[in-house]
Amino acid sequence: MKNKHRSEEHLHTLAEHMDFYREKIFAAPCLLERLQYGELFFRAVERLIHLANDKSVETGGGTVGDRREKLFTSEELAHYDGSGGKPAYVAVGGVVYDVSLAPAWGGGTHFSLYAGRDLTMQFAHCHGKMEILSKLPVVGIFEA
Amino acid sequence: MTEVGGWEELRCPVMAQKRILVQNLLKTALEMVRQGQRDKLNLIWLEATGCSGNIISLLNAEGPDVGYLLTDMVNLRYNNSLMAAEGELAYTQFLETLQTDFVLAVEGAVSTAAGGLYTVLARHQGRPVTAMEVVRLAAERARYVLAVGTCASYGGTSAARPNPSESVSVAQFLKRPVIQLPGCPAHPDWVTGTLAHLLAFGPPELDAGNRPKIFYAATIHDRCPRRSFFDLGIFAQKLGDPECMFKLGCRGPVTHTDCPVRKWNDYVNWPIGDNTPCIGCARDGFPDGMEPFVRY
Repeated sequence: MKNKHRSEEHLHTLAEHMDFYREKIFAAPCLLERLQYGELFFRAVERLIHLANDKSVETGGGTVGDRREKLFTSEELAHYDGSGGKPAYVAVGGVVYDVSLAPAWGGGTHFSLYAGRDLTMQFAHCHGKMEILSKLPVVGIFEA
Repeated sequence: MTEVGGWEELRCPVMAQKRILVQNLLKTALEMVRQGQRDKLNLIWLEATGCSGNIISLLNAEGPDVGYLLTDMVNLRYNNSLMAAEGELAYTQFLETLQTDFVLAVEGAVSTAAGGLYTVLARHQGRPVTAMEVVRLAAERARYVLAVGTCASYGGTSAARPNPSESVSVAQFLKRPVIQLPGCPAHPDWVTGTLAHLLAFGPPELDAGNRPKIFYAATIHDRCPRRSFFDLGIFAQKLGDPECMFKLGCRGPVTHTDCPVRKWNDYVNWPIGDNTPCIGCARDGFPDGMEPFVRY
């Protein structure tokens, strides 16, 4: 509990710093200054990513191994449809993939298909080859 | 700028083609015409099943403008919007041009339901002449065929669900490949640039989708000014936010055009520059497959 509180404080400070760097990047007249703030901003982002990986609240498990075994029901999967900035997950062949940052899945949608669903049939009909899925992060398994 | 050899080692089609700017192409083409090395192209521009957006877009051409294009580069022998002749006289001019060496540009899809009667382009000797018939007639004799705009290239909005007119792309109708210039509408530079290349050097290098690599090689995502936000995972949460709009449904990553650098309306602005996501208007699958345009 204490850990969570401390990391939230840390997050808040980090966000304030990032806001400051961002303002400076846009406002600073000198290119070198802008580059410097850009560097600082980038480092703050790295710290953010580090923090995010440390938190195990969201994923419901600490290790990557645990995450891959998480069982999704239809209701749980439907929650991750990419709307409102939520992650976008799709199930193909019983495996749940994270398509939040897949280039062809802007806004959690792909050629009239929405995330948060089992798209095994549609995938087989259109792609068929499983290799393209291998680039996607796996977040769990799916049972209809 | 490093030595050209350095860029060629990367094998980037965009950088290699950048040397051939539209304006340089056009200047070369015009010089050749003036020195009598090349004749002006005869051009037939058909507006089939579409909105005429592409001829309107062509009228926006700036580098050079369309007046220059029409007087110095092409003989526009037939186009229902721009030509002075009307009715039978106009269609006769079309038929006469078929006997010459000409380039065919088709905008709009080809409607095929009801014998093509969804789009009638002319009335000749008392009977309606459908777009189907005119496109086929012209394409049989054209030196090059250009599909201008997304409807002509892929069916586009004309072929959107449920497609009552049974519209298809020009390539699908003719059952042969054509030079595709998708876009809703196509940028005037993409059209004038391709015409200039045809005039001076013949067909431009095309990608796997038969689009000129000069304009369609890289995606919008590759050259988006907000790309660093995407790479760092910083996303806009609503329209108007300055960050990457990928999570709002931006189709930049799957759309191959040069909108970020060329921009529109005299090179002034483009969708992302105006705080609205790309809707993939130059894509196969537009509009149905690119929906929803904004996701909240």
